[in-house]
Amino acid sequence: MGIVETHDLTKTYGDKSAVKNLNLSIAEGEVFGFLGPNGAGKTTTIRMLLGLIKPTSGSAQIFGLDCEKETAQIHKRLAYVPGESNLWGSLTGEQTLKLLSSLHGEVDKKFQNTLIEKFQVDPSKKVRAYSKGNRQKLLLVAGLSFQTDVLLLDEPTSGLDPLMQEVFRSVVLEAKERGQTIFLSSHTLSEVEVLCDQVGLLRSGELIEVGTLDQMRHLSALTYQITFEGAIPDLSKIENVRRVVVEGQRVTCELVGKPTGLLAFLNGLAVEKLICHEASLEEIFLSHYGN
Amino acid sequence: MSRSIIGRDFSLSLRELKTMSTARVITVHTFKERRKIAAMLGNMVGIVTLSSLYGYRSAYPHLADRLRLSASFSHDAGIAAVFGPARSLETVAGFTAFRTLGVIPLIIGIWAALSSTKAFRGNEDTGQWEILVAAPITRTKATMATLRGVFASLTVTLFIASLWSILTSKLSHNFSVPAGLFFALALVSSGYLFASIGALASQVANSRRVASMMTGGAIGVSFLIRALADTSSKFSWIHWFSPLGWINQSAPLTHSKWLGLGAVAIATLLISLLAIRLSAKRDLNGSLISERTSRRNGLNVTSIPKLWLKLQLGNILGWALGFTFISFAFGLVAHGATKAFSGSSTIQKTFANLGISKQSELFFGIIFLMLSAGLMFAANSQAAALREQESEGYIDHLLVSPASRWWVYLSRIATSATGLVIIACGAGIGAFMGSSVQNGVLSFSDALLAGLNMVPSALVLLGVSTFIFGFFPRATTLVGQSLLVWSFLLELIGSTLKLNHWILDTSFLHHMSFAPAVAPRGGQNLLLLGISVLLISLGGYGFNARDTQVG
Repeated sequence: MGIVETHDLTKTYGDKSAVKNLNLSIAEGEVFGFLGPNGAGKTTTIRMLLGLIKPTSGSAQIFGLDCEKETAQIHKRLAYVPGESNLWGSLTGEQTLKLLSSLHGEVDKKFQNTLIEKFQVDPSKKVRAYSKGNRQKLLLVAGLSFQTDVLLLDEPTSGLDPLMQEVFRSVVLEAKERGQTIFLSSHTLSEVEVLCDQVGLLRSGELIEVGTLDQMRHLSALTYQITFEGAIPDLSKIENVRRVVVEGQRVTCELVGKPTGLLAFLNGLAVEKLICHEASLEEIFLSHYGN
Repeated sequence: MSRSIIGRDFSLSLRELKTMSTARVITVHTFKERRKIAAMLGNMVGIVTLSSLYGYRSAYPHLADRLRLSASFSHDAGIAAVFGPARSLETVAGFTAFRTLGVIPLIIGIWAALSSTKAFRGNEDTGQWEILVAAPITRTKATMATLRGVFASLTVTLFIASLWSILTSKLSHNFSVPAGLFFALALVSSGYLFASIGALASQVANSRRVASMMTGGAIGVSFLIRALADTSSKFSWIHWFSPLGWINQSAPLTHSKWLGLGAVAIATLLISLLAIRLSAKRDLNGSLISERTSRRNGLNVTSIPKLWLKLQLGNILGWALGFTFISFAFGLVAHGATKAFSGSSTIQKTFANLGISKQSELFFGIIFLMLSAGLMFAANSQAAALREQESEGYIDHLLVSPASRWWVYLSRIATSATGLVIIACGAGIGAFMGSSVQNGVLSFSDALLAGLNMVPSALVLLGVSTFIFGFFPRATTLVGQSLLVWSFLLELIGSTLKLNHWILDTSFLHHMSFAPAVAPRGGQNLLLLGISVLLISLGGYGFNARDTQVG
């Protein structure tokens, strides 16, 4: 049984479904990437896991406890970092951290200070004087310093510069090494690719694919880049070949299934270079959501 | 320009957006956001005017009564300081002007100032202004368009107040239609001026909070100068340093002098031009004064109740000081007002029917009834603040902690209830101090009890508002404000129109005793407290059972 589980989790608003029959199981110590375009239902799912909104049907459990009824017990062992959130402007960063820490009980002050240094947050400033990125860094320091069993991160790097995104990755990997389970909703695919053991793809509230990156790659197309010396042949008619793009002497295409047909076609043609690589997460994402 | 540029509650349809220029969109949106309250204020002006007029006729039916009233009020410096100069009180028109001119311009001025700082600095604080000025419009034109929207809403107030004035003139024949129109203009003119001051403060301050404080300070100073000018003829020249003094100098319904209103118009124009000029010159999100952005030694916020205290302390202390000051001012004038009551045979009869023997304390009873409406407003603003914590997503940080929703909710309500008690005590202490200066008869315990007597009604409104928050969160502020206005209007016009007691019972204020003139009704107050606890509990149940609603 997973540490985070959902069973036919559904949330509807009027006749519109935000999340439909979502079934997830995340093992202890796993980093789970939750992907989907805007409005796919990622935040709604997270808010149901947090008990902020109630499911229309189905259920969700964390640590085997019901997310709707046993929220306080769950929250003792869980931390949440939203991607966009208001913080009380009249409080300083230090007061905010102290408040959020005291609500969660014991916090390793030394570890929190290390995070403050890593993320380069000035806690003496009032929150209203912070930029969006600095507010986000403060939320990350708070959420990560609790060292709870489960971390729910909803687009946590929005507003962060590339340097801080790198800091975030290293801190999450450290959390993973400590055995924390991390539920990461993100639009930064390179981040998910580096951090996540398992990925779930959500579209219009429905989970369309879930698995490890390798499993997804296995199901997905391989990308071929072929550079010809002479005339460019038409590859689009070849069996299992799709998305043919010609750029000068170079042809890029995807191949699903066996390459027998393509290799037979290329045999005898003047091929200067042939590169084949597995699909990146971005390519998998675009193949599901792109036009 | 899309609907999302100005906010979730953008008031224009996409069709309207497509056909309008950017400047017009800003003006119409600013106007539409304010028109309902503006209309409500216009009606309030009309109803207060009408009720003052008929109330005076009913309370002082004979010339002898009116002359006694005029004699006792005309030479009372305290009364003049609070309400303004008492001119021609022996006439219906004179009394109506006296009753309204001291209070209504202040109310309209405060609303217009807050409305203006919200339209300017409030939108800048939330980033909406940034999106507006990124549209094809200059900063100057955007500021002008916003100002036009605010002024247009005030024109709705003026229009409705004018209609009531015409109606009152035709019904009563106590003043001419032109005099009535001048009267309406005088009452509403403070709105235009303080709205322009709000616009200017929004350019100078670095947040809406600071802009509102600056504008509030300007209103306060204006009131104090006007009050000082009215206490003695020696100081009367300083009227010309106060916008509220200019309005008083215009003497509507009695002399109708244009000089005062001319000063208001010129000041409004100059201040508006300065605000427009500054808006074009300064950086976006910049200001002429800077706020302290760091503090090392603040309140140690380590729990949810301490957080609520930190967030509400300034607000509660502000209300408490305001109530203390107002009741102190009324304490100063209590002696003169009591003499005026004794001049009316009708009021004497009414007192006898109510079983009121301590006439010297009845004035305070009426004042505490008025203050009670203010306390109810504070109660509703507490519920609105709770809703804001939810709608803006602040409360999520608390709800994802191990604290239960009940704890988050009840600790917030307990802070509000404690704040209301502190404000009420402030009113009692202020009244006692004011009365003591005038060698009054109000004892400390009676004054404090009279203050605390206001609390149960305010708690019932807090209960209703939190009940609505629990089940229909988006309607929290609207329902609370509507009930408050309903109660206030019923108290103002109920006795004049001799309404059925079933209708009067729907007013929260109607269940208050006239403490300290009559002893607070312990049983009734306990019942009100019980009702408020029940409503607060039901609201908590609703909040616990429902989804959080952001936006």
